[in-house]
Amino acid sequence: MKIVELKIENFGVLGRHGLDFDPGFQLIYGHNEAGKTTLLALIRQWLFGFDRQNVYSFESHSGKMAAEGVVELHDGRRIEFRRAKKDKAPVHGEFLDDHAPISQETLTQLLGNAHRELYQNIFGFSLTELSAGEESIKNGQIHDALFGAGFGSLSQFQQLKDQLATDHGNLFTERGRTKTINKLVTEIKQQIDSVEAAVVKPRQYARLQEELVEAKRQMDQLGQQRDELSTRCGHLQRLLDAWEPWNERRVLQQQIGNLKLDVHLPRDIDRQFQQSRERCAAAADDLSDIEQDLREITDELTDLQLSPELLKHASELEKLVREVGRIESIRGELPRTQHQAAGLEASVRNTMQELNPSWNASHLGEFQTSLDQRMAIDSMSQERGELSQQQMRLDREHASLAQSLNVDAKKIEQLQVDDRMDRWQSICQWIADYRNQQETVRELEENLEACRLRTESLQSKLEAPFGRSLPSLAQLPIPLEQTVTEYRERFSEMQQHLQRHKEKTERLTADIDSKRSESNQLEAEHQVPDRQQLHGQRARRDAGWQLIRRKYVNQKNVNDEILRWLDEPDQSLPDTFEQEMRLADEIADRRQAQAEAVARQEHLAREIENLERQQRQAQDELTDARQSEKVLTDQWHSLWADCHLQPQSPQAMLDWLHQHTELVDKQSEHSLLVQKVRVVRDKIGDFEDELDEVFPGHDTPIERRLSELQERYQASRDNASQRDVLKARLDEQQESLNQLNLARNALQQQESRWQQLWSELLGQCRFPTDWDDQIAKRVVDGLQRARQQQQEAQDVTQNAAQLSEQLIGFEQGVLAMCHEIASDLSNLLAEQAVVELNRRMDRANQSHQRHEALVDAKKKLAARRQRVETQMADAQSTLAKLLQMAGVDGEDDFFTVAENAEKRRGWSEQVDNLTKQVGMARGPEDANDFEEQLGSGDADDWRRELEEVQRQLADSQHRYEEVVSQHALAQDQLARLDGTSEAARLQTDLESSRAKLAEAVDRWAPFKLASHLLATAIDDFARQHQPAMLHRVESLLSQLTAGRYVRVQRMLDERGTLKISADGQQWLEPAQLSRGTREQLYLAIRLAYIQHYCEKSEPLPIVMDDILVNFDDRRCNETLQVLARLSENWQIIFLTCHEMMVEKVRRILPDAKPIDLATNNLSQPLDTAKATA
Amino acid sequence: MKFIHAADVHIDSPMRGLEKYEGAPVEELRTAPRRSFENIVTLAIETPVDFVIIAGDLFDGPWQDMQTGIWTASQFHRLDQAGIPVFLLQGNHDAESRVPQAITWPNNVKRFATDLPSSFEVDEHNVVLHGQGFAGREAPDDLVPNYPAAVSNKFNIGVLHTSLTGDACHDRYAPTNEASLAAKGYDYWALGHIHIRRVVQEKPLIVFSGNCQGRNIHEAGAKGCYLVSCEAGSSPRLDFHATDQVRWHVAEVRLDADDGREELLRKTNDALRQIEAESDGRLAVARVVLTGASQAYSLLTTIAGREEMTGEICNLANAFGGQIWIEKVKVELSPLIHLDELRKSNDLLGELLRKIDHIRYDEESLQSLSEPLAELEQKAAVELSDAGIELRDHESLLDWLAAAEMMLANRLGSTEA
Repeated sequence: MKIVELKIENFGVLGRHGLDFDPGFQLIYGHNEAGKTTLLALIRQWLFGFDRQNVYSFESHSGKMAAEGVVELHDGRRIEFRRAKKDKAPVHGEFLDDHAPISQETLTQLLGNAHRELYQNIFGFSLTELSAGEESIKNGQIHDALFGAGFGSLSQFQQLKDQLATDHGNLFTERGRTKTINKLVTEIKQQIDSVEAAVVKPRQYARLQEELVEAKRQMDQLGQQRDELSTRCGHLQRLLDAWEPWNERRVLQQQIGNLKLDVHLPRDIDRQFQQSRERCAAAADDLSDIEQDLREITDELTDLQLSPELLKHASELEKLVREVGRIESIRGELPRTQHQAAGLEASVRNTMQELNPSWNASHLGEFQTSLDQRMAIDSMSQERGELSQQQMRLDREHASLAQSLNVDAKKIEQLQVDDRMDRWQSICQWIADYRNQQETVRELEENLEACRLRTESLQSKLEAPFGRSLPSLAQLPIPLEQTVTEYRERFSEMQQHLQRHKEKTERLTADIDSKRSESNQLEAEHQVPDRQQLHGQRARRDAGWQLIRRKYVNQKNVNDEILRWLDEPDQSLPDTFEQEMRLADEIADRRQAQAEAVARQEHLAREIENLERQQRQAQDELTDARQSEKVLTDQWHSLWADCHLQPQSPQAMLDWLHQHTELVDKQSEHSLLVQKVRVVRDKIGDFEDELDEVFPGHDTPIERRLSELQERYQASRDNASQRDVLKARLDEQQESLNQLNLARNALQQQESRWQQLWSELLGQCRFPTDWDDQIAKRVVDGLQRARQQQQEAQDVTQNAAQLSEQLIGFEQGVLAMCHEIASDLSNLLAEQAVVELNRRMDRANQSHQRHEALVDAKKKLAARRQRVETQMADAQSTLAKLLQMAGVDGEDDFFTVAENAEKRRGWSEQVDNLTKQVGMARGPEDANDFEEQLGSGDADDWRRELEEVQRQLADSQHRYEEVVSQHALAQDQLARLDGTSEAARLQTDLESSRAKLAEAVDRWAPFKLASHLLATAIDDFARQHQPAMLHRVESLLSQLTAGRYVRVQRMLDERGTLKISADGQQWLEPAQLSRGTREQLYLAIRLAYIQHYCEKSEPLPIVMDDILVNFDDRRCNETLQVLARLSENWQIIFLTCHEMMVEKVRRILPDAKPIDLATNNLSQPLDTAKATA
Repeated sequence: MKFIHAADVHIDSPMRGLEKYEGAPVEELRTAPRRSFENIVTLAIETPVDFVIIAGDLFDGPWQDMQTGIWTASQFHRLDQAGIPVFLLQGNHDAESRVPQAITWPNNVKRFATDLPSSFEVDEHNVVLHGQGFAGREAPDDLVPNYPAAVSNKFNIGVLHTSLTGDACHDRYAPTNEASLAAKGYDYWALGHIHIRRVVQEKPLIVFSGNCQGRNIHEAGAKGCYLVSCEAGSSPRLDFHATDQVRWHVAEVRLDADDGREELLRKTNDALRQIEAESDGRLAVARVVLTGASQAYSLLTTIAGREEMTGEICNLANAFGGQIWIEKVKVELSPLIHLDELRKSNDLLGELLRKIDHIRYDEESLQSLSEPLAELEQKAAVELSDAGIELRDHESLLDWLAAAEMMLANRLGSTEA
């Protein structure tokens, strides 16, 4: 897809602008902040949708954000579409050839289902991206470098890969201990053990219960014994405690018997006697005081003055007093009300005279209008106003439209159109194609030539292995590239294998020599007899000993053997044996003395032996490897046998194979090109024939004829288009004029209808027929106002009459009361008379209340006198009863009897106390048995027995407490089980850890899976496309570096590091390259992926934002040349803020038309553009 | 006549899937099954009821701590002192536990035999109860045919621990069906084993009381027992009483496209407030599920970000005065990208997303995803299984795949990344 033209509305700094794009290489120049980024954002958002919250949406924009333009698809079709923000359907557009409409969905499909992120990541290049790519490629694996681009930027892809690995690695690793999941798993194992240990098992519980039952049984037994002793002890103590009070009580009972008193007098009888005598005296004093008070009250009652006549009229007077305030107010208000009524009547007269000087209030009755009539007058008056306004507006519009019609009609007459337009149009549509075809023919012929040269060059190169020329190279049964690659790998491995064995053998030989040298040196330095020597000497010694034993102990004849053993025949056996024995010991001693050296020497000997074994083995392996190499070489040769050639090295043959493939491709390309040239030439011929027919001019060069034709067609088309527009407008205006005339007629009809209705309304209201709506409305309003004023005057007059009536009524009531009870007040003002009467009434009330109080007090005193007389009689009666109770007549005898009775009561109380003491000492024991034992027992005997029982009890208590303690312990152990369960708490902790584990796994698994899926996707892609991608990168890098680097491969190491080479011999890793070359390599990779993408999808414009600023001049030129070539197939939009770059581009592409953001190319507003046209 | 029908008490069974964190009300949660059972006993005493039926699984199978038995016996003592008998049926979890065999029960506890159906009469109310407990962990056969025929002129209650015709969430035990139960002619079937409260049939009443206390997020909502009242001549009346001490809730917090951190926390807080209102003063355990396509997704893409947000949500819960415990913050958010569009594209990301989509619908490919996870399984198979994590589980693999897909699409398909 290529952008052809673009119109912008309200996008950031771009208000309303139009742009034409070069379909190949479009350079855009502008300093910083000139709008480059805005333009890029616009292209992206125009193609894929406006941002929801758009930073380019300015408040200063008057219309909505939109963009429209034309794009050309790779199949040549062109579409025009408009995208506007906030429209219901975001895209409106059509195919330019058949005008078939396109929607958002169609557009998405036409763009190959690309999305804005894909476009930005894959087709967008920025300097930052290039730098980041260069940096990351240094350490990038081949997968990352080649296919990270497929996921957008390489740095983003690597960042994600690393982040995912870190994320899941932080949670779990196979051998980790401190990672979250590893730690949780360990914790869970420990917690399971803790729960197991804390759980109380049923068996353990049963044992505790048995212990508890046994302790309880012993406790009960000892408790019973202790209780019995305690009971006996208590009984003895109680007898001893009761002994003394029991004796004392016996003595007191005898003294009471001696008093011989018959009567039973109550306690405090003497005090009762004395009190009665005092109550009699007090009652006599009270009676005297009461008589005195009664006399004083009677005197005051006699003196008191009362007014019963006045009191009878109390309620009437009270009403009058309440009226006084209101009456005073009426006296003030009455004159004011009368004055107001007169004023209102004058207003009515004035209003009537304003309407008509001859009218007065009596005329009000002549013009009676109803509410409906008044409303009808208002409504019709308003309608009349609106009709007038409409009439004026229609007149204005009519005049304006008629004038416009005349102007347009004149314009149409002036526009001329040629009648051969249709044929010209057809030719013009094909002109671009015709030129393209001519260009294509040129290109194809160039390609044909290049193809032929390349074929010849390849053929010459390919002949090398044959040694002679073979005509049909394309038909050779050549092995597959994969097979050759495998051989290359196998040869490479074989070489490495051989090299390893050679090195190993050499290393072993060197080691053996070194050890031997060390051993020799040891022997030389220490002269240590070796182990063999010692063994030999010992064997000789032992043989001598055997001979001695056999000869001297067993008496055998072993002389021959002895002679053989002896070195010399004249030596004696014992002496020689002794000598040999000494020698063996000496060797052993020497070895012992040099133990360290011996040990080292023996160690060296073992090592040498071991190394020699390894050496033999290595040599065998080396032989095997050489054999394998020979077999492999034979296989390699047989692989090529059918081609009848002598294969060179696999790497050389692989290169040969590539060249062969290229040759085959080139041959087929050649045929294809020849065919294409023929087809295009036919099309050119057809076009020129058509041109001759439609626009003859055989002597004129064809290009000039075409230009003339285009100019004339354009002018004619513009006129036709403008005439169509004007005609359409003329029709519209004529239609509008007709509509206006209709509207004016309708208005006139409305006015007639109004006039008729108005006449009817005047008749209904009995108004003169010549009144217009304004007069009628004024009269109706004035009469209405006068009626309201007249109503108010009547209301005020009526109010004044009522007030006067109330005043007279009050004065009459007051005068009547004065005649009856206070004739002296008749001459006063009514309100004053009422105030005086009220004062006299207050005084009469006070006298009446005092009289009532005195009568009441007198009654109370009489009642009190009666109560005091009763009390005195009661006291006298009590005194008589007490004397009778004591059985005496006089007061002195009474007091003697009372004293004896009090003495007996004291002794009896002492006896009762002592009985209680005995009872308390007795406790719960039976009273009769206890008293009997006190009467018959002896205190000393009881004390002795008590001491003995107490000793037994202490002993028993001690044993009981021990058992209780045992019981409590068992009970406590069981009781603890009833409390909060430790096991349950630990189980909760365990569950918490399990929940944490589940949560951690929930987090880990997605990271792990994402990592896995990403790696799998890359692997899959690599499996399918790696060779092709490498080939593309090679080709692009070779072009970008002008042939300095021609090969790109992946290394066979585990990481698959990328390496590049200038000649296929010397290989460099990315880290060994200069930064500029690395950037070129990264650019080549990105472009290679775009190539790959575009093979199956619609190519989109590539956007490059000043990516060459860090390149030196040479690289810059090389890259621009490559981009220029690529722009033959793809549109490249190249942005820069450097003028130098513009110059460079112009040198390479002289026809390039840069858009200068600073001048008028971009900032030409649409409106201006239209006006110019 | 009134009685309580309870089942599946699972005393001292631990709550599943709860992480402890600072400020969480650990103790209250741990003792929740005990408090729930206490509430049932208190309800029985205060009502008062004439007897209590426990239709199996008083204890939790693998839990062998005798303290559990002792505590339970103390609760039965309370009922004994109030003169309330308890009819206890042994369920599959009880059979697995040795606690009920080892403990000495008070005299008011009547246990149904496990070899054959046995019956108990409550003379003063003219009631007869029939039941058979589980002798072992397995009960593959229908026990109902052996139950005795209904005793005429008495109110017959059948007590049974059964999976009935089957339930996806529960193993099959003593399978039977409604028709077999109805054919016995009993007046009320008190069933246990299924943890969801349900009246299976009304004539006669066949009732699962459900469990008394939710123990994991799959047991959300009110839990308790039925108080059954029988008046002469009328059908029994069922009144559900919530006895749970802790209530489980799932709170979905749906985020809009422009919602950020503040909105996320505000909406979560609103959801927690709603939960507090629905909990009637109980401790609430909440799973917060964040859903919707939102820019807030970016807050949760890293481990640190997710931990921070989880911490913030726990803090919100703590602000409710220890009344809410966050069980889990489940992230089902998606980033603001159009997966369908990305999937259609011809770039490598499109291929990757199409492959993921294929895996989603192809069981074999889905199962092959467990291979990269196998290293964890080799390391901790038992611990994972005990924690309820199954690395080959279809649903889990789908969830993880979806999360991985979102992660990749968000990072590779977003121009903002």
